[in-house]
Amino acid sequence: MLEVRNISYGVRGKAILSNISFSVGPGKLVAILGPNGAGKSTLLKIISRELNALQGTIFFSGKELQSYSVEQLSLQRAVLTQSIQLSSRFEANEVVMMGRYPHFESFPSEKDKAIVNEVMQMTETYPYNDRIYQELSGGEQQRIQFARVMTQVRGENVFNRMLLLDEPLNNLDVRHQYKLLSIASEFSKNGNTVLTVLHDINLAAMYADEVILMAKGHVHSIGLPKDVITGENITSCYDFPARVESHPFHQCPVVYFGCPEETKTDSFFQQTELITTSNL
Amino acid sequence: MRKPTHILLVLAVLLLGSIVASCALGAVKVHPTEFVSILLNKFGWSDYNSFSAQQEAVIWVIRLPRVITSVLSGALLALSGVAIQGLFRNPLADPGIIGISSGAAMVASIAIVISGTFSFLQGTFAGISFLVIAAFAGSLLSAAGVFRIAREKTKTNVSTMLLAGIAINAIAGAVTGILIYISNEQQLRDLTFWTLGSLGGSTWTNAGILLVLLVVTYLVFFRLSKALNAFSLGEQEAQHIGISIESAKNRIIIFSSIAVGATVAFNGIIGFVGLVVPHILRITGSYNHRFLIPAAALGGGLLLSLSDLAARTLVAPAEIPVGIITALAGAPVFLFILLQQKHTFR
Repeated sequence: MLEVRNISYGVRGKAILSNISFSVGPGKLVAILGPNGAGKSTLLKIISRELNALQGTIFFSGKELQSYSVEQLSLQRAVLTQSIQLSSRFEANEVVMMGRYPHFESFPSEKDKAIVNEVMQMTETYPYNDRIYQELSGGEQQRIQFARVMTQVRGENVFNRMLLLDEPLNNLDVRHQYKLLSIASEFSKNGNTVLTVLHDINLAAMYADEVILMAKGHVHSIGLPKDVITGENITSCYDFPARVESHPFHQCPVVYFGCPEETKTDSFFQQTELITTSNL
Repeated sequence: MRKPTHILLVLAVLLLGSIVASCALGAVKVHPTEFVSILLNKFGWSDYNSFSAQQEAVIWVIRLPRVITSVLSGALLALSGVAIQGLFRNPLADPGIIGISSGAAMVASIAIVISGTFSFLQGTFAGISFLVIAAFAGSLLSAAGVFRIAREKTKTNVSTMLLAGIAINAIAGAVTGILIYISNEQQLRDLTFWTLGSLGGSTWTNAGILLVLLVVTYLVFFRLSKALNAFSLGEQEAQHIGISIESAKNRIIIFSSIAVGATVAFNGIIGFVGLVVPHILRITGSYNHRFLIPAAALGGGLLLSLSDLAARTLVAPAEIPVGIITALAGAPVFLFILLQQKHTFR
């Protein structure tokens, strides 16, 4: 359970976020969408306590976020930041084990090791578990980092934990984009919260329970994907023509870019009509 | 972790061998069996006496304290090297290179000249403590200074760090120069000893103080091994996995300064141990600090005891300052790391 109340942030007098409020219940995967510079990453950084908001408060599991100690927080939520540069040449499994650091003192328990193995199998990173991190490809590194944050929040009967992901799909191929989101979604279904910044609107439409659409430091709209992801909203926020249809298999919104809505719609229908009449 | 555990075992055996060899070799030869027999006698575990009184005196009064001091100092220097490199996220951060040792030596030199004027301080425990505390203050000051100067928002600027080290080394050089200029002959000899490093002045008292500091520093750093690993992800990421970064940073800076300060107070500046040992351990073993910290303690002790053995036997009966030996061995490694880093260096 996460509640954000009237958050504002700025640097040198320039407002980056103004008056952001929303709340996310347990069991939800929420996607934050918006063009570059909308304040998505800044918002995530404030929620992960990397930055301090100038105004407003955040509540996590009913307690004010600032009242948590670093240790308490690390036991209940994990954060995947963008572009991590590892300075030491660790093996992939050692990086994933770092996700268990809040859970053991100096030596990992058998349970910690089991969780690392489990998550590496799940994220399909196990085949290179003893390779040196720096020698992996960008996508493989990203999957290792995701495996690390998943091991941090994993456990038996885990609920009310939170996952904050900043553009987690960077460098991933199609298969692993879907894989990652379905793992995150499954995690949220067990009573946990996932808040993720995404760039792919169609993936957000498919996996998110709720969508927060941001523009220019404001929340433009918030709600179910089918209510937020509309041709009008996307076109105005991204300043780029977009048209939204219903996905033929998944029944969620699907966005087509670069097609001016009205004219295209007309010609599309005219064409279908033509075909049907000729067939008759 | 199988391979790293083997390396720890090998290091322990080599260190033991080096201790025995260092005690056996020198102007007065002591066979390893005689050495063991002297130890057994001293501890009262055996009455069997196969050695001369001279051998016993050489071992007990001169060689053993010196060898033990070299092992403890080497361990402390290598430990501080590992910790500081972890903190700076860079393998070039050696206590000597970034000015921590010379900062310690500078303040300690001033303390020598001051305490020279107060005769009651000389040779007493109070005098030794005064020296150690002065050296610690110097190392702490320069360590904290370099870290503040070199630190950017989320990471350390390596070139700034090295340049800050150059600046501190230059200031320390100038101050030492002034001290040499104004000091008398005895003080001059003391100061030369400082800048080149020597284990010649080792006593049981020094060894005892170093032992206590080593145990404390080791325990603190071993408990920080998770934090040191996590730092390699970046400070923010370390915090996200439950590391209290400010307290970890403070502990690293304070205890490395204590470690370096104490060794500098007793032995002067012995460079490159903190650089070479972790570097070799990383390429042969692992980057995991749970391995690096115990391994550095063993490896540092091994390197410095061997270096000191070379320092006092190579040109016997004269002695080469041990700092020269470690510099000769260490500087090429430094250049090697520089070449390796060329691509990422900024």
